[in-house]
Amino acid sequence: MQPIASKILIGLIAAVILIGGGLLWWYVASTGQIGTPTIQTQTTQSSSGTNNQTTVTTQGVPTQTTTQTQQVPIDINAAYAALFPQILGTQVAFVQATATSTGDMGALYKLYTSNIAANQKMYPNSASSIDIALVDLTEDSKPEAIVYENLLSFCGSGGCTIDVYKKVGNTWTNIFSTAGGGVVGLSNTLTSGYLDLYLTVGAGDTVDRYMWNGSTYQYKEVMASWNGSLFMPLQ
Amino acid sequence: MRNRRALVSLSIGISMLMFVLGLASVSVQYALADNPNQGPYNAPTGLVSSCNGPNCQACNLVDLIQNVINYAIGLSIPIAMALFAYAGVLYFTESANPHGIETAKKIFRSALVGFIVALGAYLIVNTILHSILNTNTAQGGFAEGSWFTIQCTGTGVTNGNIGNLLTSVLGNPAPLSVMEVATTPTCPSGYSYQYNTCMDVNGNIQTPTYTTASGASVPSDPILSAEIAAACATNASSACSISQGISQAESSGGQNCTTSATGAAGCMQVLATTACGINSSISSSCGSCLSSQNSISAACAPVIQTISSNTQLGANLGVQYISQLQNMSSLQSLETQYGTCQITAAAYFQGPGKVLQAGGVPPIATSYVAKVCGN
Repeated sequence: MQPIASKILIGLIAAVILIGGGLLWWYVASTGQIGTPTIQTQTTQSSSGTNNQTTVTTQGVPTQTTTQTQQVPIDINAAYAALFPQILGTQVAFVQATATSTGDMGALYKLYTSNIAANQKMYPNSASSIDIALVDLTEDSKPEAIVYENLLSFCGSGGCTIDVYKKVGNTWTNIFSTAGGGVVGLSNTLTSGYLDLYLTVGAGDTVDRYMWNGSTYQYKEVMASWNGSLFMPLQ
Repeated sequence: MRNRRALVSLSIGISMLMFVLGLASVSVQYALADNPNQGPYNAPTGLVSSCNGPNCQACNLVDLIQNVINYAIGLSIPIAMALFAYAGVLYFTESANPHGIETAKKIFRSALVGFIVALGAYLIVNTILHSILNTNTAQGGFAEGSWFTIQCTGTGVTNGNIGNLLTSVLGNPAPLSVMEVATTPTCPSGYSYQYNTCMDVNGNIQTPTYTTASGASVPSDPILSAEIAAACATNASSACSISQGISQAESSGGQNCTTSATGAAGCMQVLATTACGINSSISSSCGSCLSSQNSISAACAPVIQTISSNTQLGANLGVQYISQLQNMSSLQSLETQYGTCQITAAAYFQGPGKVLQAGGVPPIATSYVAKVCGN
């Protein structure tokens, strides 16, 4: 028995245990590594706002999965702009019409005054303009009108109301109505005297060709599919 | 000698105390952490499951047993280390004393055997349970092949064989309103999981199927269901069933939450402008987004980004919007005439103004309403 050496050794062991215990306590308290979920994240960045799964796993604890998205904005307008030349189309340029608009724009705006008033009642702080494009769909040098009714109470998950008008005499007559996205394309082909339209209707995962059937526009075919960041033209 | 043993015992005791306090500290931290998926069933947050009174279910008891086992295994490591160290010190300091050396060897041997038994307990129990219990995961057997991974799901304890044992004795606990299960998306051959959906090299999209940890296929992502349930609880909304139906129609129940080309974001596909109309504080860009009146404008891009990066926010916005629509006085008479679900779903899809203008479900929303509310 070596009393001094023995006491020193035991003192050292006690110190190691105490310090070790303290360090363990600090580590566990600061990082939460025991009894809390272990988070495994696979991160892939993309311009589409890619979702990636975060799996949280703990022994003895129900597993949870949450979804995170990378911080890269999606440029939907640019996706449309890139698509139209590929499907031989041109994008319609909308102009905001307001209560002070005149001429055809003013006349068309007046068709929506009751809707605008209803919208203001539901959403008092919302804007009161609508988007109108005057385009010659029949190539007779007389413009038709495409109206995108971008009023909050006239929009939903399926987009906003899209109307197409033809001027008969001095009256604008509705010849087609649907709901969809605010980007409309014109094809370079005429069907029964009307240019085909490229529309994203409803849930908005495709750009579709709409053709004139003699009395209104009718769905014809899918031109491109949306993958979350860009359109993929169908061959 | 007695003093030395007392000192060592004291040291070990203190270190054990610190270890346990550390665990308790973590438990408190975890219990206080914001967990958006937390529902009426409280996932185990420490040694003792967090529940009280009527909220306590058989699953909490299973969690408690599970946690005690886990913590005991964890404790065995420092105990074994301390005993090995003590045996080593004794061996050197008592080298002149045959009785001391024998004692050191005895301590070393006992600690080693005890440690092996403790670590082998998982293997022993696993082997026994595998031989006497059903291990078919499709029928609620071992989760991920491990008896020690407990899963509490919408129908109670379905995986994990401590759970099975207790369930067989106590009966199935009351159903839980929140499912907390892991899901793995699976894509058809030639498709890979990206953009939260299945896509091939040409950009063609297929809906993924989801598989729980127990191997069962589920029609939709249960995480979204849980988030909608949480949003309903937060907003005291009675619109839960319609919200779940709309999530099915919008994103196949969370299976395809890609931002649409119309600027509808999140699993509930709320337009950026609509989202800002519901809650303008979700993004500092809401003002300019609303002014642009166009959900795909550059001004709305940050709003879309905010919604699509936070699935719980997307669920909250959807549920809030549905609640607003349900409570709109101008839609009340139509709801009475055509049904609350029908009118609410139509307004969600085309806007309440359009529904009022149509005096019911607009023709373009007919198939959508059927999806949400049934025929």
